[in-house]
Amino acid sequence: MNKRFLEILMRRLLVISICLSIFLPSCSDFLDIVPDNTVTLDDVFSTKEQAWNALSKIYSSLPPVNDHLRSEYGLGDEYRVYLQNRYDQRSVADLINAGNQSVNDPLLGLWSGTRGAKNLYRALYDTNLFIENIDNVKNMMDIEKADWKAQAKFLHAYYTFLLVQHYGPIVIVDKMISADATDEEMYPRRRKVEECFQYIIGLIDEAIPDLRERANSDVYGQVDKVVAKSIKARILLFRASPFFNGNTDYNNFLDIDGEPFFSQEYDKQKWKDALDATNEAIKICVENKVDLYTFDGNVYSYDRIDYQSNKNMMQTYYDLRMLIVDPWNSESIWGYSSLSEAGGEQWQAMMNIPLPENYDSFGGSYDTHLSYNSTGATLAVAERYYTNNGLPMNEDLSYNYLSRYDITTTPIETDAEFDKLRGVLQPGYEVVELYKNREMRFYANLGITGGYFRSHSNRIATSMFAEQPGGKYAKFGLQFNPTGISIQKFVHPDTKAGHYERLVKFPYPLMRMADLYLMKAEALTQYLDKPTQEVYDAINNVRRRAGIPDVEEVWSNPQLAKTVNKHKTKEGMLEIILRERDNEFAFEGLRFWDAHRYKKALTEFSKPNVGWDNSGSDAESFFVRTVYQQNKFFMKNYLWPIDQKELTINKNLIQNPGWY
Amino acid sequence: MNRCKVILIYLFLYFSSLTLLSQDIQLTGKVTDDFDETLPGVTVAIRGTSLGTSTDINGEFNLTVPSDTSVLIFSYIGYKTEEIKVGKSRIITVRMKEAEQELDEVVVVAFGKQKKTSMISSIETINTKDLRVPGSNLTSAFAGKIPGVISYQTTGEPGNDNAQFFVRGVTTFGYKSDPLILIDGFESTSNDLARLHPDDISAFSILKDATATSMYGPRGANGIILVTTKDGEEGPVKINVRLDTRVTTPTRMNEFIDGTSFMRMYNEALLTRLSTSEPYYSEQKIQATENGVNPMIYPNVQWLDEIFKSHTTNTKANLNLSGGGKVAKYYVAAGYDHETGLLNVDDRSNFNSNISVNRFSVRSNVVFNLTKTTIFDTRIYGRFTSYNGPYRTATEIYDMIMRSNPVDFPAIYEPDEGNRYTNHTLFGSSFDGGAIMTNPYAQMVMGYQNKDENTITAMATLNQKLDFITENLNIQAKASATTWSSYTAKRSYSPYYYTIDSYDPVSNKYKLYGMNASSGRAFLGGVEPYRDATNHYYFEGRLSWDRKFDKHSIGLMTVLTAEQSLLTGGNSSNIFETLPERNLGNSGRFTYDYDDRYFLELVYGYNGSEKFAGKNKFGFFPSVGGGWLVSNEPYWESMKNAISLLKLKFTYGRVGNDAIAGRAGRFWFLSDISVNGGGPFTWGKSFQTSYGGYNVNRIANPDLTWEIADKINLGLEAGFFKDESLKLTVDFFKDYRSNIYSIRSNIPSTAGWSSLPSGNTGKAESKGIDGSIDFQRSFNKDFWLTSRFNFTYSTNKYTFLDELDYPYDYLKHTGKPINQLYGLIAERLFVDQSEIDNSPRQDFGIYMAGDIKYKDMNNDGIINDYDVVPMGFPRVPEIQYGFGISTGYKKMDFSFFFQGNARTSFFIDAAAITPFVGKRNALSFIADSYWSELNPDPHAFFPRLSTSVIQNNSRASSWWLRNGSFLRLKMLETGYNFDGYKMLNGGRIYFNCENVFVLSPFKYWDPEVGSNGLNYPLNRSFNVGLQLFF
Repeated sequence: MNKRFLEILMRRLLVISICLSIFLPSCSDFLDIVPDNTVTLDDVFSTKEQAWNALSKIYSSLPPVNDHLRSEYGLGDEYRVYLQNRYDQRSVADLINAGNQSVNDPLLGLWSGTRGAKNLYRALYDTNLFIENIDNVKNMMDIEKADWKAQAKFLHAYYTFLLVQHYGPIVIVDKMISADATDEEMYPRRRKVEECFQYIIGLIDEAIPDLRERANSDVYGQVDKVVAKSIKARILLFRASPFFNGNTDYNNFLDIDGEPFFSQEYDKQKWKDALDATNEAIKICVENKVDLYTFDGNVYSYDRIDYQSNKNMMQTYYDLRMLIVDPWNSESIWGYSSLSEAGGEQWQAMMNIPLPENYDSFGGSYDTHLSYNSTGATLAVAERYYTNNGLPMNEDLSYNYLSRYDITTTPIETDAEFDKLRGVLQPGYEVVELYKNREMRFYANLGITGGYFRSHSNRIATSMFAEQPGGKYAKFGLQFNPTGISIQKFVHPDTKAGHYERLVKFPYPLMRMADLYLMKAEALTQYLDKPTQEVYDAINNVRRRAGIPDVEEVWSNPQLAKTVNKHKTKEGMLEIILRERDNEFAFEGLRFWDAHRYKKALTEFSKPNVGWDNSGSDAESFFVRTVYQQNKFFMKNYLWPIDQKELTINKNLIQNPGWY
Repeated sequence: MNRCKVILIYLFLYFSSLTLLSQDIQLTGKVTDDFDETLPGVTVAIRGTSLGTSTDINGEFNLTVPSDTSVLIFSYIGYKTEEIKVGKSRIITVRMKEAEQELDEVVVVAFGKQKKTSMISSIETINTKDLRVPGSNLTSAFAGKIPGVISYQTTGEPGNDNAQFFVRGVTTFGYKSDPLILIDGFESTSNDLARLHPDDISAFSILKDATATSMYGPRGANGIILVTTKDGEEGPVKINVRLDTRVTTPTRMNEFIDGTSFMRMYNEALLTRLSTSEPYYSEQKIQATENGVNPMIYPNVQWLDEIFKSHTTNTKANLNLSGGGKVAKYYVAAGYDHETGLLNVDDRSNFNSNISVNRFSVRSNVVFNLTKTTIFDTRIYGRFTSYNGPYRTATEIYDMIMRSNPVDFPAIYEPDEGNRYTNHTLFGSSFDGGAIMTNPYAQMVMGYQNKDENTITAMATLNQKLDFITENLNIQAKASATTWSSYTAKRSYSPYYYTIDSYDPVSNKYKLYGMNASSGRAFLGGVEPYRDATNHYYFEGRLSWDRKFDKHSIGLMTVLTAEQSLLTGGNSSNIFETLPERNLGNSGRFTYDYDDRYFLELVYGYNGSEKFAGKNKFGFFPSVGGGWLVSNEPYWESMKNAISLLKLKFTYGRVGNDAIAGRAGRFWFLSDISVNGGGPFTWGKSFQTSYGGYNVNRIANPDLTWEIADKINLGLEAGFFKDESLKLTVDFFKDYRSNIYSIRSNIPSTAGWSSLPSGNTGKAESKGIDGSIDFQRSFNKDFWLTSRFNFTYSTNKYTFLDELDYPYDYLKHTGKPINQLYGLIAERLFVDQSEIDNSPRQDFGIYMAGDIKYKDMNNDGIINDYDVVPMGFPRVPEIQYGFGISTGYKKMDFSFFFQGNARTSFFIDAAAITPFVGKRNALSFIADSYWSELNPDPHAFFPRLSTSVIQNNSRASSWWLRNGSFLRLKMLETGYNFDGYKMLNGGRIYFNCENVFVLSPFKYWDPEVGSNGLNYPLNRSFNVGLQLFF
């Protein structure tokens, strides 16, 4: 190339650089278009008003027990939920009961938030984030920050416990994982069960001193000392229970280091820990006026006459009927308060029966909206309730157990016999023997043929037969009670159909006082060699409220009890306590975990799900035992499957036994 | 037009009279073409003067020239300009050569033009004649016409029928995989491209490789479509008029079974799933329908016929004028087209609910010579579209028809006694579980919508020659702006639906029941308006210089660009969506060639985008290329009779892509947190203390940067025979994509992140061949023939995807094509329950005998998403080809064009075709072959009937996999060229037909639409056109 060319080239470059120098200085400005003040995480923790959002975020991972499709209440053998053929519209718990749990798409999988479950590891991240950032808030007092931080710690511990409850050994997340985490932090191993419990209890103990004694009414539902101490007692009870305490079924379930995940040695001291914690919880509850609920309002006008003639029994009825639905009553230790505005998915709406056409005195609506009547109780739970003597049907010598399915007629109104049934059963109605002479919890919790269902501000005389009040109406399509036995425990008598505002809201129980008394009885029985009066006193608290005789009174009566003095042996008393729990907490989601703790789920939950024939239009065709589902619980179901995808990502994870 | 001519003639006479005083040599002459046909209207000018004339109808001219040394310039559109020195001769005969050759010689490239011989980039230039289609959508012409472009069309709905197109196939799995479209150097949308009129296009190029595209650094990675519109040419006004009228009809309509068969089959579908079901339709109703007792009570409605016409007529007109003088040259065009849909119009309303689109466009390209060295180029384009259509879109109505059945109700009830004086239309419907069933006819006529849309684009370019600094130095500034806006107004009434309340078969009288007496509304209700608008600005400053020194030719060019596009309408309240999109850059090119034999090209782009932060804002995209024109070597002379042209070329370089997300979500360097957006909770005695929580929608990644394409191209051009009548072009390419924006997957749940972080982690590569073979020869003056064969093969694969480390290789996407289809392997239909009991559990809901049996790929005893395997070919065809022949004899011409796709597959959308879901009708081909208890054929087309979608059967599986390849006679055309008369210089009348037939192994619908078989069909059109030149 010649010299001239180079000259020209140089001149060219000069021109270019002049041009560039004109344009380029403004370049970066031209491309910087994002304004400041877009939201960052710091903004969420800048003021108290914003930080409320962060607080609500960490509470929002509490499992939605009120949501009939996603609630764990449906696990076990108490419910028959929503007879809808579409797979995605059935209660997830019901699908688990039918044996559909899988590793690829875990149902109610808390580990990674699959199929209706909250994602609890996300909750652990959020609580950690909250704990790390809440001190940055400018306009909060230190004591308030400490309280909120303690709530976050408690929730972190509670969520960790829920994971342990379902999965056994789990990954502990004691700090936030950042984007530049090492592989070791990113792909952690599962920890031994005992280590997990210690982590949980340690955290709750850390939280308790900073919590308020009792949350005020504006924030009912938030965690306070009463809640923390009570839940701590429950967690220690789980830790002491056979499933977690020396469970040799898992002697081959080993960590990478060859050690078993579950402690293989039974440790009686764990019951002592649970007992102490329970006593402490009862103490703080009583100090804060939390105790067993009794109804002290005015009875509804439709019950006034019956109440006058049968005062004791009707008082017990009201104590039990209003126990759950009377909002924030004295029995509630902790309740689930985040009821969605849509409301349609609540148990209350699913359990309420539509108002029949001739009941119009209190402005009720025949609308089926929010009174879907699509959730029924199984025959199993109906049979589990005691007789009016406070004994199981098959243990009560005064009760003809074998003829319990025989059709009979209730006494007619003029019959003297009927007086003690007033307000509970209708006169001269064809029912089964099973429906007579039962304890008051049976009548207060269930809606039965020949009984009453109190809702829509009405006392509906229920039949449950097809095309009759409470039963299956062809015109309502799939909205009918599948088993022919409905549940009124979660329906407030003033709840009406139509609009969500007409559902009387109440917190769904996360823990209530009766639980602490029965936990005390259980822990004491387990810790002692032989039951003592202290055990009986604890359980009798609950029995007296239910209107049944004291435990030692009926079980020592050879005219009544088939297995006389069962309450005097450790094993017998444990069985009595667990049955008491079943009846007291029916439908509240505790039975599944009690059977689980005592390793009885395999036998209890592999039975058919049975109800009456909902298409029957009279006693004869209705009272036919009908199998609605064959429930399946396998050994592997004790520990829930971890999403297969998680094992693909984290090679350090070991799947629970039996799942592949 | 007359006036223009008068003025021009006047001007001409004026200038001529000035020169009369000087010397005068009288010349006569004749101009012919290559075949000795005379050429009228050829401009004859004298160099260096403003004098000149043009040839008459016989191709002859008379001219007075100043001297023997004068040089005459003969120019005529479509022909090579000839220069002849007068000399001693007083009679001059000129044979002009057709200019196709000349057009070929200069190629429009990024920011400029290049001589074709020296070009080493892979740029495909399309003859605009090839892009002419009867319809009014240019994109529908692409398939098979352009080597290196893969294109297909999935719906024929007017106004919504753009084809999808990709340069060299799909090479990325990022946000944007379609090419950049530049019209006159200005980024445009595919709608702008679709509405361009081929007559207005002077050059249409596809930029494919790195040296061609890297000057458009941030946006060129997926290839570029570069269109230049026409300029005027110096000379008297030329007028070109084109009129087209076409009849459009669907290529194929889906066929359904009639009412009685429907009812029988529906009952069967109920009973076959649950033997205790009651038949839904009574035998009495079936019989009565069969006998046609009373069509109000026993309807048998063929909705398609009720709602759709078999054909419609559309028209299109285009007019353009061009010409110019010393001061200015102009090209002005106006276009109009009118498209209508296939919907019937109900005469009960006075509004038109059929689709009717009127489009009007004006283009004015005027180039002013401000001084001898200054050119000012202005281009203004406006497009105005007025759409009138049904309240629902035609696609929605078509879909409703696919979801209805013939027997539940008629479209409209004749009034009964009680409704004798009702003045609204009694639309038919019936209750289905309490809901009013959809009446497609009512939905069609219940209202209408107007949509007015307009686009105005203005461009101005000022070009200054800087020869006073150094020869051939040029500086140019260009500004463009476009504004697009649309306004939609929907108006509708709420139809009153009726159903039969009672019917007395004896008197044949019925009583109707108003289903929605309270919610119906007979008058048009409130307008639902919607506005949308965008603005787009572009500025460019360019400096260029080229020079030839002996055997060295050098070209240098640098350009600065700044661009902004902005949303100015719509209802978005997203702060990021309202911020402008911006690009800024400097690019440059250096070209060098030695003796037209060796070529070198260096290109760079240094470009910035608002989508990245900090040092990632700007990216540098260099590329290099080299070429060798072997046939220009001295030693090749002897070969030239056989191989007249041989060129080898190679380019390698890097191009970027900043389109990592749409307008709202593009700032990945920021986190996205919505307060009140997630995790609400309520506390308190009265459940009143409620907060909305917050949600981390995106975790910030400040390191995010450009997607990068490293492109290699190896090309060969060859011309055979002395006249190069046979030409071969072939390119081999490889495209390595990296930094593809993707979401990281290997994050365990235990990390607890609410959104997965992103990164520039993805990698993909594609490779292939594209090329063409052209043959073109005039055998004698009457007979000519051209033919062309195009071919594109492009295949791609993921080379890195941050995917889960699945235990089964077949689940991994890495190593598989980007658009690979995945499905379960269907073995056949289950024979009986015992076979089901003894087969692995299929985890997709309820299934029975006659449902699809799948293969358990991982042998875990459960069939689920872990048994899904790659199958078939990708949805985007790997091979697309086209070939056509055009031939003419004397004044007749004839051409045809075939187009084909190969190596492509699709799934039939089983859920969409499942009959009886929501009581919809059954397609005939399903009625012809399905599993039933009477005919338990385990290989029937359709599994056991049902009245709901059986999830087990609707899964993507080999059962529904089909070969999507086809060969289509895309276009058939014949024309006649006629002579001019008086003012008319000539013209052409032609007839053509688009989508004549298709050959394919798939028979149920047009295979090009793939899975969308139940959408608005593709069209076939028959078109008559007339073209006139003045």
